[in-house]
Amino acid sequence: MVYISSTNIVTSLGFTTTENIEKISQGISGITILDDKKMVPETVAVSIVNNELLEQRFVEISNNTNFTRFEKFVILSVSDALKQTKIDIRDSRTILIISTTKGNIDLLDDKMKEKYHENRLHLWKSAQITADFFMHPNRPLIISNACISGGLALITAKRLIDSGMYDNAVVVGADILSEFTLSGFIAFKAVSSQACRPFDAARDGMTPGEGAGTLILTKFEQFSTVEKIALIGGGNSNDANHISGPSRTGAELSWAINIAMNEAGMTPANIDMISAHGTATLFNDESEGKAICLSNLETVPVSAIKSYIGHTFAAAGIIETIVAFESIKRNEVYTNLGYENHGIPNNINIRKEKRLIPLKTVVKTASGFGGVNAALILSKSQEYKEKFEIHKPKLNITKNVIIRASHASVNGKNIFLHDNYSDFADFSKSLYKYLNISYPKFYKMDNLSKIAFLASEILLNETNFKQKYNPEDIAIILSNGSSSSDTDAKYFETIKNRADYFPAPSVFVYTLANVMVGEISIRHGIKGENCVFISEKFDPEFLKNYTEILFRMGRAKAAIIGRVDYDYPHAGHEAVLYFIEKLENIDEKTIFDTQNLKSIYFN
Amino acid sequence: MEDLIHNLKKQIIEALNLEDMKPEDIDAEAPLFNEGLGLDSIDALELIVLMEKHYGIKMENPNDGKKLFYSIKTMAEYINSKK
Repeated sequence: MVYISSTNIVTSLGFTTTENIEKISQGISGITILDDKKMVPETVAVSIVNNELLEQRFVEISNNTNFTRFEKFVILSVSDALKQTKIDIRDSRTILIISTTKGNIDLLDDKMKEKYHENRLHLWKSAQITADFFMHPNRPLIISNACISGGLALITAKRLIDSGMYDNAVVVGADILSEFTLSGFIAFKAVSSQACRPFDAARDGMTPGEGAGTLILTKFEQFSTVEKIALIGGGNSNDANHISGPSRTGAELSWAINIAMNEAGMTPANIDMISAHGTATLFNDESEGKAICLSNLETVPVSAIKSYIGHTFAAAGIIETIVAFESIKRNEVYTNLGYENHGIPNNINIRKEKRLIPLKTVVKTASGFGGVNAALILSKSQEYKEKFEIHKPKLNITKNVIIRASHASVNGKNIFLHDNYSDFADFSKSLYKYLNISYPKFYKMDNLSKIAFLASEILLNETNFKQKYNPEDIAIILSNGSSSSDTDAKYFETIKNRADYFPAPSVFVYTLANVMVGEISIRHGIKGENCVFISEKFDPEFLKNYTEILFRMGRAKAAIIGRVDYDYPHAGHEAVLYFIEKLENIDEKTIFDTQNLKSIYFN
Repeated sequence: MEDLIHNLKKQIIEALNLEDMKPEDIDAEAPLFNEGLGLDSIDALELIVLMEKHYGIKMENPNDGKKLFYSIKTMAEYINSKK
């Protein structure tokens, strides 16, 4: 069992879980109207953490003035959660997991560049700095998967504990609201001028927010809270439909919910509340309603809390899980602020007013750019048993592809060499032409997605994967060092000067590394588990362990794994992909182990 | 009008990365979305940016786009009407 030991929430409503829940329970929202022309020219509603209060709280913990705003969010949140538990973050059996979409993105600004080394923009760098603050002995795990980052971090933590890799996990999600993110979502016409209204007929967009949330998880019952609430199921899927728009049918989110219920040993009759993603964009809420009905949960009370604290991006999945945890403790489905008239085609059980009902088991959902979905189950029921295959499956590296510099190779043999290599644009175009495919969307991709797309194209060719596997049975697990830094810089150029201010939505959409996974999924119709882990260097040990967990849980029957980077660590680019399958008879040379992953990567 | 249509085609090819396409390949009266050029929702957002960047036309209501962005011709007519 993976129990919740302690929590923290940092948002516009306060700096602790209690401060936040007191306000939410009273129906008080932290959303304000932002009229700051220095930030964005438009007037929009946002949820912002007050800077003076942030500084006041932070000096109580540290007088080091060198931390960035994002790092302060993480440190404040984790510190407060640690105060309420006996679990030691300095214990090597505890893993720190950090989820964020954009980390220190405000450091792109010229003024900030003077103060901080450019490395600080890398998610692994800021994660290491916060881990060092807590004297955490392990390398922190970083999950950057758009708006499901937080939810996926919790699911990952549960799996790492269930599999015996760790005993405890400190899971933190954080994102700051910056000119960068705000302008991007405004260019997407996704931001409301008023506080957002999830599932309401008059909803006209989301409310961008910021904050952090921390959940400390443990396998030890004695460290759980008196209610003994545990995380008992988790599912993750990809729409394979569009990189920014949600699924038209909701089938993939529904699949993630069903998988999570199945792991938890629950049926729809056991579910007492749904903590929805509810961003209040036209399409998200509609698609989510479809998913809820497809999973036969239409009679289950729905709670959507983004009208209190906005969309806190990577923090959202964690903060909303904590709010759901508090709901179970108090048997309260909080007021759905902003909801007046039903605004989606499906009849789900949502009401404005607060409801006091006995709550035992809750489903939390999330969706995001790149077509990603996550669902997790929180329960105080004690009937759960882990579903883990004890025996490690026999896994094989069926095929590998490497694209580096001016060449591409398959299983160590060169298949393509670009003679007069001048730049990546030229190289990627000639490799695309060489592959003799017609996929005009390729030209719209950013460089990171292009190299991931080309490598997956070569990898999957002649593998017969469509005949052998269902779309949900193929996982895509990628590791990456630079996140989307190349595209981040390009997008920032479009908003840097007010005299030439034209935020480009088609660039902004690629400022998330997991969109490359979305592109591969769309191209090949792959809908299974998918995640991007950020690490400074190639980490074969973790990739191997995590992939093995997915196979042991029955979540993958095949997997595309590897490392994809653009303009990193130096000016280069690389995609090293492996196709992993279960086989009865395996040649030692291709057995799926750390040694073989390494020797292919460093060939 | 002819010049405007030609310029629009060039700007659209550039803004939407329609590599391998030349202005003469695009039929000014054919639908831009779904069939025709096969543009999607992100392209529609880029067209809104294009209208503001090159023609100073601000589109507050994205729903207006459906009619205006039907074809290159409807876009050109709209730009002319705003002059």
